[in-house]
Formats: sequence, structure tokens, C-alpha cells
Amino acid sequence: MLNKRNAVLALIALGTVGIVSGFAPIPGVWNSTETRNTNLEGSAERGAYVIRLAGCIACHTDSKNGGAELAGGRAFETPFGVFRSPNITPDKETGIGNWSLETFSNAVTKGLRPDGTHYYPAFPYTSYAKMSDQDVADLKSYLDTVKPVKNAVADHDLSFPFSMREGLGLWKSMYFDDKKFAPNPERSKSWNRGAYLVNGPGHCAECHTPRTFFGGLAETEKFYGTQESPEGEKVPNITNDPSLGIGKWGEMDVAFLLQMGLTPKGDSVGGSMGEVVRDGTAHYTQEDVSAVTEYLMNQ
Amino acid sequence: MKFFSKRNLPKLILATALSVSALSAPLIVSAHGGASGVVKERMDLMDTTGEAMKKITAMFKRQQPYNADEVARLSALIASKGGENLTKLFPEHSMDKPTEALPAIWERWERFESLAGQLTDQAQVLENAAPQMMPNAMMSFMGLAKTCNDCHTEFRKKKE
Repeated sequence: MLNKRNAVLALIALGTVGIVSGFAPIPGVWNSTETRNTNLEGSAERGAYVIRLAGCIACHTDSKNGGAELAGGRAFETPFGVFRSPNITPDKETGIGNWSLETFSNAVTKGLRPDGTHYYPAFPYTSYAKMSDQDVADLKSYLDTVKPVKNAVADHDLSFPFSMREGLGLWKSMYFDDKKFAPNPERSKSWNRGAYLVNGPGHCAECHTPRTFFGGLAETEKFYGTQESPEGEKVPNITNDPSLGIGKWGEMDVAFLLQMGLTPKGDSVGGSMGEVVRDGTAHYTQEDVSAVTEYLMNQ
Repeated sequence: MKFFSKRNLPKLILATALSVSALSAPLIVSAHGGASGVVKERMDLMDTTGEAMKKITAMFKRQQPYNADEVARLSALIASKGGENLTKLFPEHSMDKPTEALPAIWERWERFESLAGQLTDQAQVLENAAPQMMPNAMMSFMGLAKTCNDCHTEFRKKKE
């Protein structure tokens, strides 16, 4: 878990990693294991729904300071320093207006910047890698239709050694497998749709799974929740464990939370999940909400 | 003379009773963990609306039989707690512990006012829609619950 003590320890440990890989960059330390089809025809109409599935709006909009939708600049204060989300409107100078579908797909599913260097995993490509090529193409088509906004976002402001992007190749080789989502043939179609949504675009594990020493997802503790997220928030356990998780919740409890942000106790969920609901899951179709519920209750 | 003598017993009982009541007085006041004044008032208001929402929610979740009159009554109660009746409980800088309010309320007062007004409007819509549970009342209820979530997301502290 990423509490303050672990953050300090991780800082020291990552310092070693950062120095090793920073001063002696290992080319190709992370290798993609997937081939992506970037010749698909995208649909902006479907993409307008994919952007809700993937929850892009909350992080890429600086709503607190009245920023334009998707124009980035939202600051995330973490123990590693301040991350700032980039502008993903199609402005050619400050946004992604010059990106091809291939560049976009490399960013979303491989965590690669247009210049071939790595993104920090604050951008949840570790989950987005499970997205289908069609969903990625649709998302790009939708983003192409958004009003371009000129907004040059400042760089992240990270402390050493996290400021050294070179170390990310090694991190990715330890924690990032970019394999696409593979359905489980023994499960129903809707269960598989739920698994896809939760583990792919929905990127639930990014907050609901504790992180290891080096900031990777602790796969053996999937959805266990954390006492302290990087933003200092308590994140609940969403396994189907009846006492620790949501095993005792009814289907309506899950649905009401995702659609309206209502907890079983009748309170609003608020916080970061409140944003996830407002900008993402409240827009899910009834079928997708049911699919997510089926998956979560039968993991 | 021993203090714990039979003669002193009534005094001892009285002293104990007074001490207990003196000690418990702050506990009574601290139904909201020490809240007082306007902070307590608004926390009580949130409790009232929260309880009403909980009862309505149980009916929409079909955990309780749907009762249109009860939904209308509870919606009217919620409506009466929104708008100015809510915003007047948030004078500037009223950030005494254990408040969960964020300074963003005063930084973006117009937005806060607008959501407080929306709370009343949406609750009134639900009150009027109550007779027909599906789809009218359900749709109105969703709008109301989303307003609660929007406001809590923007203006209430995150759970630590």
C-alpha cells in the first residue's frame, strides 16, 4: 500500500532503479507483446460513449479552476510530486490534433508518447491496454470532433528520482503487460462484457487495488481497496467478500451507486468516485451497468 | 471522618450524578462529533435529507413497498431543505471542526448556490412525479440523487 512510510521506502528503492536506468538507459527494456490494428474506421458516435466508459473527462478537465472540457491541466498531488493531465482536445499546437490513430493507440494501449518515450502510469494505460482496437478507434474519432482548445499544460512537477522518465521502461517491464482483453469462454457474454469494462476502459483496479512497493498493482490483492490512495483517500474493497467487500450488496445497490452515486447507506459517494460516477458510470447503459454488476458479484 | 462513610453516601451519589451529567453534557452536544452552531445546524439538515433519501431509495430499490404519498411527502421535505435554506447555513469561513465542507464552496459560491437550488427543484419534480413510479418518478429520483452526488463531489471533503 502506498502510505507515507512506503512512499519514502519506494523513493529510496526507486532512486536506485532510476539511477541505474537513468544513467545507463537500457534500450527496449519494455517490449510490447501485442499487435494493434490501427487501420479501423472509427465512429465518433460510438466514441462519445467510449469516452464515458473510459472516464477520460474527469482527469483531463481542470473543472476546479473552470478549465475547458478535456483541455487538461488538472493537477494531482501525490507523494511523488504533482502530475498534470495533458490537453486531449484536437488543438494542433497544445492538444492532440496532429496525432494519427497509431500515435493515439500507442499512447492509450502501450503508454508510449509520440516521441517513443514512456508515459507515467498515472495515465492508466495499464488498464486501457485491454481495450479493443475498435473502442480505441472510436474514441479517437470522437476526440477529433471535440472543440479544439488552446491550453499549454505545464510539465509534471515530480521529485527526484521520479522526475527521471528513463526509469519508466524498467517499471513497465515489471508491471505492464499490454495484452488485450481475452474473454473467458466459460462465462456468460454479459459477465465477459463486465470483465472487459471493469478491467479495461473502466480502469477500476487503478484505485481499488493496492500498489506494491514500486507502485505497480498488487495483483494478488486485486480490488482489496486501500487505506490511503496516492491522493490521500480511503478506497473501499470491491471484491465479492461478504464482510470486507461488496458481497452482501444487492444488484440494485451496485447499480444505484454506479448510476447515481448513492451508497447502500443512502449517502452520496462523493470524492473521486463521485467524479467517476458523474463523468463516467452515470452514462453507462442499463446493460453495461448490469454487466459490471454481474462481473463484480461473481469475480 | 472518612469520605466514603454511610453518612456521606447521599453526597457521594449526588457528586457522582453531577459529575456524570457534567461529563456527559458535551457528549450530548457532540452528536456530530463536537459540532456546534451553524456547522451543527447544517449537519442536522444533511441528516434529515439523508434519512429522507434513504427511505425513498429503499422504495425504488423495492426493498420496501412503493408508497407514492410517502415519496411525495419526503420529497417535499427535501425540497424545503434546499435553496436558500441550505446556503444560509454556509456563511463564509464557517469551517469549524468537524465540518466536512470544502473551501471550494466559497470559491465557487455561484455553483454551490445553483446546486442548492437544483436540490429543491429536483425534489419538487419528484414530488409531482411520485404517483407514477415507472418511469417518471424513477427518472426524477435519479436526477435528484445525481444532484446530491454532484454537490458532495465538488464541495464535501474526501473520505480519509
